[in-house]
Amino acid sequence: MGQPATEADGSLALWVCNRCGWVYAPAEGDPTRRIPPLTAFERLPPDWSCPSCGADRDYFFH
Amino acid sequence: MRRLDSTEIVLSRRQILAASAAAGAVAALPGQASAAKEGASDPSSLAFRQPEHTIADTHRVAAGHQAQVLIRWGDGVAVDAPAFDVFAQSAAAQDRQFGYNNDFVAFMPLPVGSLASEHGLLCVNHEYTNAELMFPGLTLKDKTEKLCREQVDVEIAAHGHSVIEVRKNGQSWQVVAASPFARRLSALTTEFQMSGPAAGHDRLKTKADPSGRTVIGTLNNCAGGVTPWGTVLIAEENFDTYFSGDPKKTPESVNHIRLGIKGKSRYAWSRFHDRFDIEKEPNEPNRFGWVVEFDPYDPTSVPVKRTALGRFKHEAATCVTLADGRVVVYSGDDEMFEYLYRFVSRDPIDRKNRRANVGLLDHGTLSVARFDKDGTMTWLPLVWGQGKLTAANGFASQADVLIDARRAADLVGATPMDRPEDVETNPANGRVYVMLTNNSQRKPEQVNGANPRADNRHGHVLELTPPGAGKGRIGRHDAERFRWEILFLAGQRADGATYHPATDKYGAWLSAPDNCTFDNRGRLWISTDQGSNQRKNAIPDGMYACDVDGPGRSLVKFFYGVPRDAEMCGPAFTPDNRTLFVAVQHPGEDKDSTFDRPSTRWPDFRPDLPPRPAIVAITKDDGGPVGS
Repeated sequence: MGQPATEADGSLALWVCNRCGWVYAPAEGDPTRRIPPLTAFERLPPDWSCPSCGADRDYFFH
Repeated sequence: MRRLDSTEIVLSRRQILAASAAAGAVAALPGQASAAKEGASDPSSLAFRQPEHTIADTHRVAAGHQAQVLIRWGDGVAVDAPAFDVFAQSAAAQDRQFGYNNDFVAFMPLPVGSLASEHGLLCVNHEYTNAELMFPGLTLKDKTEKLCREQVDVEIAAHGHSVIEVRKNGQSWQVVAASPFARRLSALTTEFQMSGPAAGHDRLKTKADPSGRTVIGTLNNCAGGVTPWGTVLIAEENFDTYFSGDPKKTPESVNHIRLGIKGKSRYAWSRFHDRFDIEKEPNEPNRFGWVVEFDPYDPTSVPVKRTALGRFKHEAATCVTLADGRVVVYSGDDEMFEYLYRFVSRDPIDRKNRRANVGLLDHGTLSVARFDKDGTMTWLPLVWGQGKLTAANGFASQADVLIDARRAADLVGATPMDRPEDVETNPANGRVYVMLTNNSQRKPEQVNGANPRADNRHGHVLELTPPGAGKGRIGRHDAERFRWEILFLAGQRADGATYHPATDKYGAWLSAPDNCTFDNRGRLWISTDQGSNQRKNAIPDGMYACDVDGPGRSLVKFFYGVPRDAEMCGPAFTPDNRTLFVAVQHPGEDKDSTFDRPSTRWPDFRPDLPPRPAIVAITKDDGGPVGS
């Protein structure tokens, strides 16, 4: 696993679910799944899915 | 529900009963009807034979019924619409053609106020677009960066609404060519007015509209409703997904973040249109998330965003008329942990002059629901100056309360729900049915009586009873308190589903109830949207139906299945119930499915055409009521 993607300002990239439009913001993590803040999208567990629509990780782009 | 509501001002009860009798419906309760069935042990009044409950490339319907594709994405709507050419699609053409991803459907009889069931207007929402299925050479992952300006404008023009005139000839429905009613409302070119307490507020003003009263376009219109005076309500839902830009760099950061705008959009619109970049136009999102009203019978009417009904992700907006003529509008906020809302108009409808009701939805009280574990629910008013809705909490006026309706609802103590989608009143028993689609994020410590499952993957249906409601009595929908109970928890038995026990033998399970309607016998028809869970659950989205009274209560049956990777929307019966219109949305939507290699090519199945969202007209072979 290489370096996580970043935004222009160097912060961890926002990733967007291309099924429902929900945005994974690393600054927030995913509290419900006990994903702490500042977790890069690339470091999410393999079975993690979109909290909004259930789509799996392959639906996300940044 | 929609039919009875839209016509009740011009029809007596006797006329309605006569129409029901003509449709072959019985006046008795559904349960009584089924009990009379000789030798049947199936307690349901729904006697149709279910189609195969599996996922397939094409759609399918219960035995003895026909499912006819009526109009597809790209077919002509406006009189001057050019022929559809999927390889040379232009924004100008799309602006005149049937849009993408049809959702809500209303059948509006012609002439207005009649119970005509073979001639009318179909009013159809176009919720969103799947660019990777509309244009060659794109994938889900690269489309946002690859789309060109013209393609983006095609997408914008494919949003909104279509009005078409339709007529039944024998068993077959046709779109009437060159209809004077035919009309597109698009997000690219159509002008909308704002009205009500928030219209003209500073937070609604933009560079293009310093008045804060005129907006180009409507976005993400999911479901809707029909008013008692024969106008159509269309509900702006996930409008946040169109906007890019960092909310923290705007003066509206709390508002934008609360509505889901976090800085990145799945759409490429902001690359070509500054108004979809909140850093350039921070107030633009405040002009979406409203309920829009327009008159389909007047093709020149200007659609209006009614701000008195609040701003959130409106799934739908459905009406009930009180005994004194005031109107109640129910609306769910379709997101996990969001709320159920109700609007009660200040003034009664004018039953003699439908045009006099044009501003009725501009004055009234918006409330939000709190569900208590004792089986009661309370409607909490969202009125500026009351309780916590004051300047101390950042509300300077009622306009602020409406623009920030979610935040206001938080403060009054509303109950976070498992994605409230359609909310409809059953004209047969006066009860209100709430589709709660799912909520996989609910933790065990967050469950409550009305949302009793943690990790609720399959959703449930709530049944609300206003005081005085019952068989043949609509009840007092303006009351402060209702009673509630769970009609059923969805999913399979292993998921804790609570359908009628005989569902296992005579019916079928469902997941993710989304929209609904009622037939003339008060039976509940549910359309489902499992999203990408459809493949995991291995059952198709589609139409399901059940009795809500009598011995077959909650015995769910499967009636119609969508083609692969679609969802089911828009169920709308004609007044005689002999036709059921449904909307097949996003056929072929999957992570690996593209224009070039779609997962299905429904409905054309031509090698040169991608799948196309379409409206389907379902009729019974013997001409009787659908599902009878």
